[in-house]
Amino acid sequence: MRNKVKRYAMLFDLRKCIGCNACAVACKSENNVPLGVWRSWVKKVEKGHYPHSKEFFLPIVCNNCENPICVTVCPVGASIKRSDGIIYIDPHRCIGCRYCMAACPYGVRYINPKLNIAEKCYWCHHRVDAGLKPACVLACPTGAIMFGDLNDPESDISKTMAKNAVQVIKPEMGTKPHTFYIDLDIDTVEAKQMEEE
Amino acid sequence: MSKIGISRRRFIKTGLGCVAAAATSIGTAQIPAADKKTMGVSRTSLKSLYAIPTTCEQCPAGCGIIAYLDGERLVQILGNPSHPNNQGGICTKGLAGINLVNDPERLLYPMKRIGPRGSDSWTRITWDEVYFTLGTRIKEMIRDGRISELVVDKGQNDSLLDRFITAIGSIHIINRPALKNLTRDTAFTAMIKSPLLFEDVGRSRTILNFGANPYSNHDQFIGIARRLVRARIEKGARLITFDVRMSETAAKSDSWHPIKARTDGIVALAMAKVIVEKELADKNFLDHNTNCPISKIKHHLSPYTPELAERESGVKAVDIERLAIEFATRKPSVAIIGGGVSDHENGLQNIRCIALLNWLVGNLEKEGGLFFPRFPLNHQGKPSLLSDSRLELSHAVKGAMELQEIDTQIDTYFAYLSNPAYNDPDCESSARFLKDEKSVPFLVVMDTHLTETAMMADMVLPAATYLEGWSISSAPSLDKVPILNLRQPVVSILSTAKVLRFPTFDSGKLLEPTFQPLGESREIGNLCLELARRIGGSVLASLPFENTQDYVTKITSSIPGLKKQGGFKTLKRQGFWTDKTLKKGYYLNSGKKSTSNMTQKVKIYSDTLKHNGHPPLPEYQPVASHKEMNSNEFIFTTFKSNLTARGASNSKWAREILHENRLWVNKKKADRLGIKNGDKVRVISPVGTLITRVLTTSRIHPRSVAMAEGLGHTAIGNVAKARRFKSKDQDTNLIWWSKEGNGVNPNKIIERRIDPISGGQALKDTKVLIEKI
Amino acid sequence: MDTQVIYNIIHQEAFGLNIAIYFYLTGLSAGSFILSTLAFGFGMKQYKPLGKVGVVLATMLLIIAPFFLLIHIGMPYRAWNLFVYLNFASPITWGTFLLVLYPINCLIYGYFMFKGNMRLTRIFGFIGIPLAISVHGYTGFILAFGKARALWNTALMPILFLVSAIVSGIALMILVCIIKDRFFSKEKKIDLTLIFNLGKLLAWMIIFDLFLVGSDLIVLSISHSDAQAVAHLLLLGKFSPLFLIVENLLGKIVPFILLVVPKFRRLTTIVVASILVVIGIFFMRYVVVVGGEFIPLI
Ligand SMILES: Nc1nc2c(c(=O)[nH]1)N[C@H]1C(S)=C(S)[C@@H](COP(=O)(O)OP(=O)(O)OC[C@H]3O[C@@H](n4cnc5c(=O)[nH]c(N)nc54)[C@H](O)[C@@H]3O)O[C@H]1N2
Ligand SMILES: Nc1nc2c(c(=O)[nH]1)N[C@H]1C(S)=C(S)[C@@H](COP(=O)(O)OP(=O)(O)OC[C@H]3O[C@@H](n4cnc5c(=O)[nH]c(N)nc54)[C@H](O)[C@@H]3O)O[C@H]1N2
Ligand code: SF4
Ligand code: SF4
Ligand code: SF4
Ligand code: SF4
Ligand code: SF4
Ligand SMILES: [Mo]
Repeated sequence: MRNKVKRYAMLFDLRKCIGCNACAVACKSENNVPLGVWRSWVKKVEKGHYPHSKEFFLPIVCNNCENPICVTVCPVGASIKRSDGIIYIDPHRCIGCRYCMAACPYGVRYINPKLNIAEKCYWCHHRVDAGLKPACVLACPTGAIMFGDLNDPESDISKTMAKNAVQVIKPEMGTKPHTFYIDLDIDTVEAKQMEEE
Repeated sequence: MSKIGISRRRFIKTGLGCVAAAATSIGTAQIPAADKKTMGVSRTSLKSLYAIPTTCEQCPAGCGIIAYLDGERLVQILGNPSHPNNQGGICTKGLAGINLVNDPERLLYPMKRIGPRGSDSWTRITWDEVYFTLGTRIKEMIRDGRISELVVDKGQNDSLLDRFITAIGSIHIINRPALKNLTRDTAFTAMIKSPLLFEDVGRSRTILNFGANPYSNHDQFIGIARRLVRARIEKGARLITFDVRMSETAAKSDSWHPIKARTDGIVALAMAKVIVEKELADKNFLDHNTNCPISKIKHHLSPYTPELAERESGVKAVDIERLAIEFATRKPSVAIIGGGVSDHENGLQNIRCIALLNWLVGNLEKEGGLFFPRFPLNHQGKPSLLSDSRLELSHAVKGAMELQEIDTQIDTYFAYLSNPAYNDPDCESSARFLKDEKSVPFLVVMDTHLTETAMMADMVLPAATYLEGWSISSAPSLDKVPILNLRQPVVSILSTAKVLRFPTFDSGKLLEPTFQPLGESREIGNLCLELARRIGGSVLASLPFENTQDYVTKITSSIPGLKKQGGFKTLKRQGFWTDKTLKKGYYLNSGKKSTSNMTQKVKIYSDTLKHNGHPPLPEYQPVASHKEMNSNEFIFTTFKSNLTARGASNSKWAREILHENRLWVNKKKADRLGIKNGDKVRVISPVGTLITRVLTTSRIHPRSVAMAEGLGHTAIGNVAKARRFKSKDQDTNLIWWSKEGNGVNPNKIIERRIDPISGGQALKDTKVLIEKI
Repeated sequence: MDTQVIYNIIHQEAFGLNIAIYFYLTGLSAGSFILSTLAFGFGMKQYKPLGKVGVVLATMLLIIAPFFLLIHIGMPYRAWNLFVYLNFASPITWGTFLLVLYPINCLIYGYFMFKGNMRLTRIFGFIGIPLAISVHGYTGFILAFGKARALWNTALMPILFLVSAIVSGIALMILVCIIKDRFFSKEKKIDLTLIFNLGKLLAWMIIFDLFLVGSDLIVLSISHSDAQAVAHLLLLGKFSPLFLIVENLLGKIVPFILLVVPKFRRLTTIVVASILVVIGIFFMRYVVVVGGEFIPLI
């Protein structure tokens, strides 16, 4: 049965990801994201010992969570969850208190240094509302990113998710992320930047 | 979700609707339905964007792109979903192309030097003065019969420039795009009379990758990366990569085999031996399509045991044997060859060794194998109209330093989008040579930026970017269908109001004249045409075009296939054209014995090589100096990151992600040398020294060290130099990586070595010494 | 598995120093207020002289504190949004009310105290106590809602913040009383019994505080991996000098010894101990806020 209400989701097929950063740069140009902050980026992690080593790529965007703690904590209700699951920030209401940044378990929010308000990936809702795919989905050279309606069983993303094992980052946070991954490596998620000597 | 969406009316209104609609009729099977109706929408005003399809020229792949304009401003570039090669995908530097156009540090006016060379003091001049100066000089050189004193150093091919060069009869040409590929081109021309073959990786089941990194850079970058990924994930193909370091491709391969630098040849030969001895070779192909019977090959291969290969290369004998069997039995299979193989002194022979693997499985012109390029034909049935550098093998000069070595008399040195003072191996010597007024009396540089080379010029000319001009080229035919790419200007000086009044692409005609390069920058083609007019005579006669657009229009009208399908108008609406009659693509060798359409035979045995005193059969040539290396000696390799490329040096988005090129050193090896991650080291080669930080990693062979090229600029712009500055773009004041620096230029320490057979550059052969500071 | 991050972005700091200062000042304010009510609310006569000092301090500190919030937020001109758009799920919205009600109550309470109306002072003192507790408790909730930051995300956070608020409040009060008596009172004579009583109180509160910090640490060090990483950061990592030496040794243990060993019972030692505590608690705020953010989330 097709549900009239949409529930959007994003799916990264990490088997197809070549770590090229095109998604990150497409986002910069689509959303005019200033230098120094990112709505989307690709974490790269090395594992193992020579010659049994490997590099892993993990593109990260906002999870547009079902239980978004960022929305819970926003004191002025500037972080808003739409009925289709997209969480966006009302740029006229946000006071730039950074509480959402402190509370989000995924570090995907930032304060725009030009506008002094919080921003994050909102799945390009301006494009989605016009019937388009988010910019990063279109740009990805290998088609590793999928975007669509989970309430529509006929959508590509529903079909792909039904047939593949999917994971989310930090499920234990109880935020119910809606950015899914195929072939997610837990060590890559947990690896932390080393301190420079 | 793909079905619901925008109304028909809105769809048409956006202009690209027309493109997409037109594309449907051409339709290649691979285009996913959902991607067809692409358009843009302004994030702030929610208005539809004005979309123009064109071609990316930041690398040889020539992807189809769509430029989106918000009013008159170019705001975004995305892939063209209808383009058969990249199918809507696009790489990072393609996306960052708008940084190149909108760069506040672009060179926008012609200037001439007023201080001493290299002093960076300039005065603005008019284009008329440029035409006069250059025109007079060239006229005089022609008149005095010393046109050989004109050196043209072209970093990018342009067919009008090529015509101009031919018309004036200059002979000293440095063709940068061809230089690097010279070894490969020579090797293939000797074997199959074509400088290149395409790899049908999208349909292969086993792919051996020797020294190519198509997930980060390649001649057909996105087109091939996309096909490889699909083949691997959706069709279960296996990808096996041999590389001295773990490239992005190696990271996403089924296995990575770290190989000692420049020993690929022996690994391939050992595999070949296994295939032949286990009688897995395609006898039929070898007998009918090559000049070398299997018995001869078998005899030749007998010394190359997997054990010997293991000792030489470090690749395990068991792996060699297993992979050889897999390659010969899990078909279709193909072995691909990258710069890692060709950029060595034994490059040509290494290429021949790997090519032999392909001949052994007989994959030439078969599904999932190798195939010849297909070009759109003109009415004489010749592809040559679209002069393609890849087909051109007349490389007169192999770099600036060769001019000095052969004591060339120079009057004028004209560099177009070429930056030898930075990019040449041993670039400091090149820079010294160019700076010397006795050797190079008059240096003219045409570029988008004040490059290292331009800093020493007597005259600098602002070049239009690839987004500001017209050209036509044949894109790689990755599905065996000839493709014609149109590049048209997308930088507009229209008022917003005017564009909004005519938002459909169809009325593009009305708007055409107002597309114009920024400032006073000019297309090289238009410069050549103007010079031809000033020189007159036969030069003018062979360049009878008004401007680049006129040239492109005339050329396309000579292609009968295109004419039938709507001609130039179609081309402009789609941004490219594929020959419908040849839509399906075909293999010359369909696999059945009798139906082979291939006329020529593969020359596994080369008489030419024999004549010139080289081994005629594929052979491994070790290099003595690399055998005996001390523990702190390494082979220095550079690689092309997907974030560095021509035109991306001063891109804020690319440089924000990659601004440091640390030296990769094997972790265990570094431990032994007492070098820790982040330590500073001195890297010493016979031609120079550089200081850099180290990245200790488990992803590189212990005998190699590696570094991304394309960083460490000392000119071009503040972004390239990692300096924060104020400009009309607020972002430049947010450059945050000044402390981390802008990397180092590896070319300072790379020796000028060549493969003696082909003359191609051996950029990856320098032996270096590492000292901890 | 052995891993090494090859590329990741730098994340902005969410809270940082300004918020640490804000928490510190509200803590001092709440502590002072609670002390002030000891005499007037609970009739503990020996603390009567604290009443007026306490309320003045509490009010002043709480008027200064929000300025650090205004510096912190990106859009200070929009601070009024906090009153227009309410989200009762957000501790900051709770704070909006508290930051208005609490100073007003302080003013009224102080007014009646200075007027000498004991009944109303008592009533507003009682109203003020939950407010004061909430004002500081809510800042604990702000941090506790940071669900991915192991150092913050504990139910102990509000109570820990309260106890440390009282600790710092007492220490500040000691210092202020001494200064007041010494320089501004008619007699220019320090009320030593009061000071020693406060010192005793301070010592017990320090013990309680140490107990809470210790409990927190013990649980952190056996909890999930991020928590263990934080424990490591505090005990052996970059924040260990601040945490172990400045906050706990100099800020709590040394003052405790100075306060409880009878040999040291002198005015100067109490002054020294109080100064140490006041500084120590500041670093406690700093370590919690900045240290809590130190380990990247991803
Ligand atoms: N992003 C990007 N793409 C580009 C370009 C660009 O500047 N940027 N430039 C374009 C141009 S002009 C060219 S010529 C092509 C060049 O394309 P290539 O020449 O293929 O690229 P490279 O990065 O030089 O080398 C490819 C790989 O060879 C490996 N290698 C080095 N030595 C050896 C060896 O001995 N054996 C093996 N097996 N591997 C080895 C390196 O580690 C590297 O991963 O790329 C084109 N594409
Ligand atoms: N260490 C090392 N050195 C190398 C290589 C290597 O792999 N390693 N590779 C070698 C190879 S393969 C090559 S091809 C050469 C490349 O050498 P060059 O051809 O000298 O290359 P680039 O610096 O890539 O580009 C030259 C100029 O073109 C301008 N430009 C770029 N894009 C555009 C455009 O679209 N329009 C216009 N109008 N201008 C543009 C840029 O401003 C840039 O200054 O470098 C060689 N040098
Ligand atoms: S990922 Fe973070 S910012 Fe995005 S919805 Fe979830 S909690 Fe909010
Ligand atoms: S920064 Fe803006 S969106 Fe985030 S919590 Fe504060 S007001 Fe809400
Ligand atoms: S969906 Fe849009 S906002 Fe989100 S990462 Fe992709 S491009 Fe950026
Ligand atoms: S664009 Fe696609 S392939 Fe490239 S990093 Fe992003 S998800 Fe991976
Ligand atoms: S692969 Fe080359 S042609 Fe294609 S978008 Fe990237 S730079 Fe442009
Ligand atoms: Mo090249």
